[in-house]
Amino acid sequence: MSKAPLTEVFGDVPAVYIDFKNPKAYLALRPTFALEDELDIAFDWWPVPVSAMSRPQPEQPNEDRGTRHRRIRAGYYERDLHRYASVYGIELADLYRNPDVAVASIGMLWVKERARESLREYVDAVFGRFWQQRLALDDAGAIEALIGEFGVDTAGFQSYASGEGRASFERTAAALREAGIFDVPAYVVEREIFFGRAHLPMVRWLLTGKAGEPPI
Amino acid sequence: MTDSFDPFRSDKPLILYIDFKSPYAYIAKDPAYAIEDQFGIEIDWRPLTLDIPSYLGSARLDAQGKVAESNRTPQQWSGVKYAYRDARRYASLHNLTLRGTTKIWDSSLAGIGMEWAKAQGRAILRSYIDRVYEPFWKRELDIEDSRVIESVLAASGADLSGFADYRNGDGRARHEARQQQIFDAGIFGVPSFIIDGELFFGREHLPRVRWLLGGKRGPAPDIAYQHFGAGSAR
Repeated sequence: MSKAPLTEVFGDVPAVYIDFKNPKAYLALRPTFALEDELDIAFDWWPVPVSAMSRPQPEQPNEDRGTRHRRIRAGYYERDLHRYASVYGIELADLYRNPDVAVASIGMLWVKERARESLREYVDAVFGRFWQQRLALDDAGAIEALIGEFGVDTAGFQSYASGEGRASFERTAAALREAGIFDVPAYVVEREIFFGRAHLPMVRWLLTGKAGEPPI
Repeated sequence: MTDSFDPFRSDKPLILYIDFKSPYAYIAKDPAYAIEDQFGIEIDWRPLTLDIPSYLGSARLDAQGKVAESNRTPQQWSGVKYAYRDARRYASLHNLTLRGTTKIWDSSLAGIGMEWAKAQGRAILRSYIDRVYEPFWKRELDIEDSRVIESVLAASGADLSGFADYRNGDGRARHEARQQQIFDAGIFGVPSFIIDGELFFGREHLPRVRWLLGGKRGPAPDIAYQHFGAGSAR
């Protein structure tokens, strides 16, 4: 599963890995918050940049089967994201944007280290505004202002974002990718990686001592 | 025979596309049976023979389980390895054995056999599906061997008269024509559920499928690999 020692990468606390530019991670937000509330737990939230979704290519004459398969599959996933976004009343903007998520992710680490109680609000706000096209993830000033909205001290954020915070973010992201986190949302429970919010019943089952019938 | 075939339409309320070489389709089988039983419906089970190398690359392992041949990218390998591990962990919770595979199997003959069983009734179809899936995933059944498929059909209670001609003639031709129609219609993987002309790829959509079959009572559910207890119709 991984070349890196998992014990060094994944702690004992159940963790969630997200990427603000990824719509699947956005759709996982509310059910993941709901599970935290239900079980009265706090996941260890981490940002990890993964590859942006590939925009389906227009149909080409004489395209080979593999190309056609990938185009059809990508089109399906696009429709699927929109149909489930409606479950949460979410309008998803362009799914295929690929901004630099470093500053928004470093902002997440800043809030997590200094005001853990505001982390949920921060994550929720970044996702919501980015997907409503009201926030540029690479705008350090906007991210700093957003952090400030929650009463979190922002003194030193800019130098953190370009120095220690960036180094920490890049180091962590590299270790996570090495450990097998190649998609989001990813949940790690008992050092098992689960990609996708569809696994939340499994995550819940594991966190409740495997009580009751296992998920299918 | 292909004239009346519509990949998205059936006289049954739910279509389910499966492929015997897919572990995800295997672990969707019993939950699909549960849907049939709970809602008192008959699913239109259809074979979809995946052309895996065209989109996931191909690979062959040697007797020691080492990669002997491969044209997969590192990303494709990561995805394939995760998928097997993921299917296996869910399978193990339900006492299903998923052994590793050393090659990409040609499951078309098993799919043709499935159509033959289906034409002889629901009980024979279920028996055939069960008798193929379990031993195949224990690596005890060669689904490319016509004698093996015939013996499974016979054990399932199917009349074999004419099957030899069918599997080489009309059955093969129909299977290949339908596979093209299915792909052309945009159905690309298994398990795929079709309800009211809408495609749901993957068993994580079962909450939505159940919600649709149950008359859309309550809010529309999200995706989940969820347990469904007796009487649960979410």
